[in-house]
Amino acid sequence: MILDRIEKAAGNFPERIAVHSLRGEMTYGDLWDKSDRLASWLNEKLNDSKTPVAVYGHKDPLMLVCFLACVKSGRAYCPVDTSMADERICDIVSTVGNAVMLATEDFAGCAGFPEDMHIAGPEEIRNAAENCEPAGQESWVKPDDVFYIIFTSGSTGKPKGVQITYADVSNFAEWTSDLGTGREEKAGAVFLNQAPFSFDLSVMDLYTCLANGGTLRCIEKKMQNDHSLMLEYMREGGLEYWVSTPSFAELCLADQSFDQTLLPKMKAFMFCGETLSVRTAKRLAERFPDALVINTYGPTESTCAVTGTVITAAMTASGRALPIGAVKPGTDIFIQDGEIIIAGDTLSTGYFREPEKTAKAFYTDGEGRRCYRTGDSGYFEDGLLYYRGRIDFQVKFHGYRIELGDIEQNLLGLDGVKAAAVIPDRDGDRIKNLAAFITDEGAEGTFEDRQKIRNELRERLPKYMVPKKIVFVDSLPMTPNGKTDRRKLEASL
Amino acid sequence: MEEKILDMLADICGDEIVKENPDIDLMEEDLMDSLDWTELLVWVEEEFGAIMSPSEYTREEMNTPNKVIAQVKKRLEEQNL
Repeated sequence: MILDRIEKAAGNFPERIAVHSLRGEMTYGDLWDKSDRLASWLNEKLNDSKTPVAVYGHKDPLMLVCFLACVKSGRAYCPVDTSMADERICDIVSTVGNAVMLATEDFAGCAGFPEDMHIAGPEEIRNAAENCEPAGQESWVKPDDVFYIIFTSGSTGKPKGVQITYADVSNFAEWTSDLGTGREEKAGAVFLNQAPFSFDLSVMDLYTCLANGGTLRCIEKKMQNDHSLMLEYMREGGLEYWVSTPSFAELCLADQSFDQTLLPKMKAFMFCGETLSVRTAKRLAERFPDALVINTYGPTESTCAVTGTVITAAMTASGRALPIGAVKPGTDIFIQDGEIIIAGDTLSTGYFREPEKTAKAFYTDGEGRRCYRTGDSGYFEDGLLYYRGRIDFQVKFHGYRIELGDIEQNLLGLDGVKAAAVIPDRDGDRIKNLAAFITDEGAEGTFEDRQKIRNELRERLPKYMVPKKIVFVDSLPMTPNGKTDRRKLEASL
Repeated sequence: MEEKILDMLADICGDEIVKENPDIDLMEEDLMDSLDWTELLVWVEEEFGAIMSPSEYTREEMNTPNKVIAQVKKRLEEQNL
């Protein structure tokens, strides 16, 4: 199990750096010891309540102490990144509903924040993590207990919390440890962390790294605005394993210096979260001839990824879309009416306190298997899965899963907006932007009107969900059966 | 060339304001993020053959449509393109 593997790393290499960011670093010995102590503080503070604990912050090594402390105290953690809009943070924290939130940086609260919640700030966390008596192994989460909850975009405008168990994470890390290269090669290696911990892609780098006693090197959001600093940070760390969305690799490839000379130890690029294009895979192979390029696929509900494959030269030369991988051991995937259905040992127990949504997405089939409807369309060929696209109104944009209905519901919540439809603005298969069509009687269609909508949405939604293109219309076109005619809107872009 | 760059900027920003007011501050108005900058520079290379790495420029050097046009022109002259 994953905690046993981290404990082993902490026992064998207590001085090795487990996590590093510009905010500081932490050794395995400290990570293990401090999380033990913070776990007993949580037990004391929360008594018998096993309600999940929200952990607020951004790329701070102390966040990992909090994650492990939660699960060592028998509670799931729920990562909340500082870049999230205040309203979404409030939604998530209120839904989780614990009496305590762990904040690794100062958080002032926001309108609608639960008044009786105790926010333990960085000083209080550090104090507890240094001075409390360590908790024992008896309070750890059990295999079927929820280990973490990550919130994803929901079609009703409210995010939904995907529950992943201790067994799920452990099975996932067993698989990724052997993916592409063996665990002997991953032992003690340096891993890139690009995604915020509130994005489930980060589960791939975080737990593959910790399970193998590696060092996690975290790229802060603001670092992405200073390429020289970011590339130097990568070089200095001696990166060996890369985990990111393909978009982030593209961002780095725009710099001519991003190649094997800069990162001579690179062993593998592991991608998840969005479609890996042939172009990106080819450019990486040219710049890093000694490293593998690995494509993976999976929804948050199946613990980050359930298929994976090394991309070969023959695959990129074929000119067709790249495969998203072979099914991992312990998972079953089958295609039903074109839709990808997943069953197996890393499947979520469902959405946190959302039995109806859970019943809609998860079901037990005739063979007694618990299955998840992904809403993705795909097909198998030669043992590899290929992705076709979404079968509903969910899109992947810059690696983020977005329900268009979520944005529409938030638009309808703005003053003056009477009707709204959000459409992906495509360039071939690629989504280049999101466009919102709005009827708003008070707006005259000026730049100020468009900025007002964008700015108000930024207060409610993560930045990547705010449509760049705002189009004011008198009314939305309708299909004969009374639904918004999305094809007509898309054709007008 | 100016027209092509302005068209591309309007496409990336999702707003025609970049053509109406080419001195608008793209960062201050939150019209472009780091991925957008990369997309723009990759496009400039593909369209005009001018190689411009993100690390060579501060955001302030290219924060308006007019400044972007001026930097692309300068780079084309430097590369004799």
